[in-house]
Amino acid sequence: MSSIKFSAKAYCKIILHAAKYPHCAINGVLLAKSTSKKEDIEFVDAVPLFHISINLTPMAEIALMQIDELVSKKGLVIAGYYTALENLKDNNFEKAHHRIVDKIAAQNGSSYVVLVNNSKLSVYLDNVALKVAQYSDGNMKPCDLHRVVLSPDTTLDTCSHLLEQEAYEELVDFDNHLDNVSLDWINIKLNEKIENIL
Amino acid sequence: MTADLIVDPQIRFWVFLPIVVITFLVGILRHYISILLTTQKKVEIQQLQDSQIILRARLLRENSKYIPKSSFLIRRFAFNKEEDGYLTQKRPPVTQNMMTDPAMMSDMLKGNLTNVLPMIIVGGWINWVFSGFITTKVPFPLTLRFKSMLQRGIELSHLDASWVSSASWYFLNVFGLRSIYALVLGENNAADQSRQMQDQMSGAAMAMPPDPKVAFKAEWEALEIIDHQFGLTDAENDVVSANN
Amino acid sequence: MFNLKDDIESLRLWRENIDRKSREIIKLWQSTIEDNLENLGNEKFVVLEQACVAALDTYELNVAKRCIQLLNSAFPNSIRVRTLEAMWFEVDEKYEEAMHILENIIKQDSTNSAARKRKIAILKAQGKSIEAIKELTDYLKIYMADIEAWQELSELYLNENEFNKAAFCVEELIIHNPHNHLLHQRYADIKYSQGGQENIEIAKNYYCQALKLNPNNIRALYGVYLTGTHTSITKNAQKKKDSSKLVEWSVKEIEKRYSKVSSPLSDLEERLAALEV
Repeated sequence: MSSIKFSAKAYCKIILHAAKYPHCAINGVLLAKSTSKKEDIEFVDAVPLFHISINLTPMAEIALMQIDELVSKKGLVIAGYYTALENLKDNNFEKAHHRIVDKIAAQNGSSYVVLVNNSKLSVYLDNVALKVAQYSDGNMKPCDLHRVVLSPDTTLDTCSHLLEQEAYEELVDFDNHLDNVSLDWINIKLNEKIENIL
Repeated sequence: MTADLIVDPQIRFWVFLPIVVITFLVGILRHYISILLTTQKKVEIQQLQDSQIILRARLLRENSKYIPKSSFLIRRFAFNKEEDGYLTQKRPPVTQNMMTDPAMMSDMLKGNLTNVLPMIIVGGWINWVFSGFITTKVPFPLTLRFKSMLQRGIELSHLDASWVSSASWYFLNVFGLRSIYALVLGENNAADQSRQMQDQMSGAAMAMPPDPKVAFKAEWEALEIIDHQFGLTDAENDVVSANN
Repeated sequence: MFNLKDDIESLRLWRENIDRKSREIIKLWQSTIEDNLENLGNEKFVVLEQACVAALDTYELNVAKRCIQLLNSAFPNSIRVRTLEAMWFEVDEKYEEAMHILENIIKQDSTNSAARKRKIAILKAQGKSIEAIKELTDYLKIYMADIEAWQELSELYLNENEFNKAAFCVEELIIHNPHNHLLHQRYADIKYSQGGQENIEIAKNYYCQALKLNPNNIRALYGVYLTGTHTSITKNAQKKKDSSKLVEWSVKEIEKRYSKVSSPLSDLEERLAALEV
């Protein structure tokens, strides 16, 4: 069974982004190596994008342009989109769709859509709080949860650790960057912190 | 008379300052009494809606140039359309009978009681106690017309109009201490008489005068005559040239 | 750390600015405020109210309950306290009870706007966005100058991707606050998201206006870049020239903003390279 792998960086940043703005809907994109095979996918990093009115498109276009330019030089490609819905009870993929997903699918043939499973979020994470679907040709096909793998195995503990430390205060998303251009949405410092804890 | 009068310095302590102090304290007293006496004005939802309509119509009128023409026209239509626009809605005529409306009567009575009555009483008392005193001199020369205003209680035809008698000084204080009241009692205090003579038309829950038809008609006309000009077409050039 | 005065000052500042600092307020409550209620003087009850709302926001139901009890004993039968009670039930997801309390409040005082707004909040929490929108539009028929309500309605419409109606709400906000650069920029964002030649022209105007009002609005600057790029795709030579000029100008301004940053971002050139026409 082909796996959908999340690196510690990718997984932790998704969860931290959701934790930083518990009262908003948030979204971001997932990066994968451009050489990855069709079936197996490994998300090596996540770029948090917005928490303010995520349905509006202009800043999303700017963000995608910049991210594309940057990551292609590093051999990565935007392969997926993640989001967390505003309402705690909303847990299905209907509302998760976004024009970014269409754009990614147009470039790569299909796009992965990752939805944060609000009901599984807590400080002490004992299982993966994500739902994954694959989007192509206008159809959202949920993926089997068993395919989702976190690598390394200590990712969940690392994530709990970060939540306890309130590391989400240090996370910078594209909206933060637009408010203050000295903040970097690559989150170099946070990445280092995650590596150190692992 | 140009020669300066020599004023007894004791007047300073026994007339001038006491009048200021008395006016000030009476004002504060009035404030607290009125707090005890006034009932919370109950706003009817219809009145609230009316005042909100007027507010929105006014803002639309003032700031129409910041929205596109089509948006403005849609709104103007909503306000002014024939049968049931916000400003053209039919209202049953409201009787303006002041004397029989009990709520208005008691409001008027309370208003009079806390404001006019003390002013008359205290003014009269000061006139009686401090009669015949010159309290102060206005630092600039004035014509004789001002004598009757500034020299209540002193019937001296030769006295320079710059001199102020005690009764007039009291009235000057009543109006002058307004800003001091604002400092001491905070805004919206009941001792501020001239404030009460103004009508404030801002904020949400303001009571409207009983007949909004007049206000509606005025706004309707004002909206009708607007020729909408979209004000942002030059923004592009402005912003580029400002920063070059 | 026993720093009561500073804490009270912070609370007052957050109250006046209507900041949503619920986590911080609860921390202050637990460290100093809770044990020092009697030393708050005149501010005791507003602080209790503030702490109550913060507790409800952070799911500290016991703290909220305590605040409500203290307020209730001081102000029995107060509508303001009953509204807090309704919010308590709302957080506990007992929406029926909460609605019941709110409807009673409205029956008692038909002009109470806070209770009506809580009802709409409950509908939103239950995921009933269509009903929430309907209640809110009914509310706005009465309180049509309530900008907080128009703001909420615009967000509700945006969540439903109803850009046209959201734009209408933001126009309302602009009428009430024509010099707020964020509103012009938000309006432009919505118009751009709607798409279409005319809307992009309008978006361009509003982004420029936002920049006029605040030259430091980066979103507006990027917006000018985007809309300028779109409008330069035209057969009209003059328009093409104007738009290209605008795009060049905006890119220069963006570069200027980034160069002002004290510690430059990594790979800055690449990021800006993405913008080159």
